[in-house]
Amino acid sequence: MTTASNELLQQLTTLLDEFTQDWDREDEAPMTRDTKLLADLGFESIDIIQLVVAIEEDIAHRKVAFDQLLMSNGRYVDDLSIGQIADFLVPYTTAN
Amino acid sequence: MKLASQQFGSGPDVVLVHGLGANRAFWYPRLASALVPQFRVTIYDLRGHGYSEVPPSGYSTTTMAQDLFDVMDEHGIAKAAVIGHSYGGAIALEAVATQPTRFTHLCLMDTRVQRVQPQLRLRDIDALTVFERAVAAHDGGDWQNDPEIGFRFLEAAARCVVDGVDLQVRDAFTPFGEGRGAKRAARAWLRLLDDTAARNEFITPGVELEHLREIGTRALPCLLMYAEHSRALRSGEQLRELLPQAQWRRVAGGGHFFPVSHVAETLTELQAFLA
Repeated sequence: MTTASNELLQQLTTLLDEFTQDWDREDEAPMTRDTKLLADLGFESIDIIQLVVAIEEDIAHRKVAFDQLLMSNGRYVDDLSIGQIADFLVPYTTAN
Repeated sequence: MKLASQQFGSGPDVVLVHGLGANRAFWYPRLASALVPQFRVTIYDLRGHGYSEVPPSGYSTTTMAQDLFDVMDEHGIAKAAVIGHSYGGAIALEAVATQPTRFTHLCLMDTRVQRVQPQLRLRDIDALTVFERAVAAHDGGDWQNDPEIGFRFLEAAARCVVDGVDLQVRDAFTPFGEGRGAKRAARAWLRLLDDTAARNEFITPGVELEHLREIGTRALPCLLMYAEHSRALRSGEQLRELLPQAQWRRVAGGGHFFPVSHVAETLTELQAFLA
């Protein structure tokens, strides 16, 4: 993993901790690169959309082409790991 | 009041208004993303829904039409095509009747209009879906005589989710979602009904029929899409008379949630309508 991706992972973990703090999560295991939004954190579609807004505002500080992350081979992906999001965001934060 | 909203793409403006018990994920990604190459698409959560604020009152179509204008103002939208599903369509209709010059197109999807269909009874529905039948059986109440069967269904479905009752059957679209997050959505819906004025305000009649007739005298393009198994057909048929310029489409095999279950058909109609 690149340093940039690991730094983003840290930022995302902090953001997600805040994002899910009122959710009564059953699984309070610490988040890792492999933690999945739907399967592990109990996300619904609306939460992914709102997370995108939060990432654009707090981490990327600009619009992010999230469709590229949410689509794979013409289909919407079933779930996303925090690591996948961090890797995807690297060009958005290093090109500044 | 904070209304959660998002905008994508560039081009002529399109605003999508979801129905009750849903949120802006009803439109995104599927329908909204497909429109993004040609349009600037704005989606938002109705008050009391999704990530928008939950005020104690203001849930009539009249007040929520004002919310729609607020979202348009916030995003600098002078004129837009407005597309509403179910109650979102009633909000869109109200907004168009109030400020017609701000809209380029009006599309209503399976919208019930209180003025023309003041009650929604079981006999208005040609057939319950397998999921609706399971919810009704579990609820055990008097569905035959309930004057607001749509709300009865949503509330009973939410109670099943909150109580952890797995009904073992699914429709193409199940309100409140499927995952662990569904409990949060279902709880939020029940809180809205129990703790705010929404329950009564949702059934407050909106714009007078004369104002709807005025929309009919304008050149505003209208599209009325109703499901083959619609519960709001009486509204749709009366709107056809009130809005003679409207295109009329039935979605073959579709139920109330056809924008999600029949995405391709819905999109084809929308793209032709907005072109």
